[in-house]
Amino acid sequence: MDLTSSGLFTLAERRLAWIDRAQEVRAENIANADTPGYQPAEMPPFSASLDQAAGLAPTATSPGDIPLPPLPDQLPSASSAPAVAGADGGTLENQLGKLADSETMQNFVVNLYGAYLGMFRTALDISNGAG
Amino acid sequence: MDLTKAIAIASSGMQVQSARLTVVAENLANQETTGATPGADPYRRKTISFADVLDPATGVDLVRVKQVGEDESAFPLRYDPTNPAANAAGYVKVPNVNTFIEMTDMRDAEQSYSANLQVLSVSRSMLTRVIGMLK
Repeated sequence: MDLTSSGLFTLAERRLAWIDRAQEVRAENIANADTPGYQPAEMPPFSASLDQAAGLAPTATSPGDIPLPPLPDQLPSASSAPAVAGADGGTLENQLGKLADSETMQNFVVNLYGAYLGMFRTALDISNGAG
Repeated sequence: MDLTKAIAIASSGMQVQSARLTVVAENLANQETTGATPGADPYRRKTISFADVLDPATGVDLVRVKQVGEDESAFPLRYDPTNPAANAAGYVKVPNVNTFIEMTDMRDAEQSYSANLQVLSVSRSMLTRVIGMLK
């Protein structure tokens, strides 16, 4: 089995790449907070990246499984209107808040990734012991 | 990697805020520096401005000191006939440095500096966490 083809790994990878880029954008905004005429940039929401991620639809493994309704095409977001650059993301405090947010999210994703990897490790150990 | 870029951006931000503090320190230190000859101009307050520059190596917007200029506002006069810089009427031109403006600027620079430092430390801990995934 190819681990990289697993949906959760792809999703975690995309999430980390998004957080990575967001961190860069926020660093630019904070560093240029005192630059006259500078327009702070805004990251597109992650749901845009999520749409491109590999499908995570659950698969029926036995005839008794109850099928789940299909995943919606687009996850509902808190605000339907796209964020306008410089509209509300300008203040230093706002940017610092988002920074803390993305750190928490990154921590979560990394832990999730580690836990998922641990599951594979456990499975491999057992098969080694049996063999 | 973008996290290392974020660290580079934050460090450029910290550099310009340090430069700003240097200018504040110069202004405050020279707030009583008058001329040496009668009617001579005293120390003129310095100003600093920033600009965002695209770093060609990494493709990110860093921040640089655009220029250190001079405040062209008029010098206040103070009556002090014994001063060597006093004019015929006994008035001395004193520097156009306002302590309150400088103090406010200093606090502002400190706040921006600590915001950049925060970016740096958060990016660093995120990077460490990613490296920790290899364990």
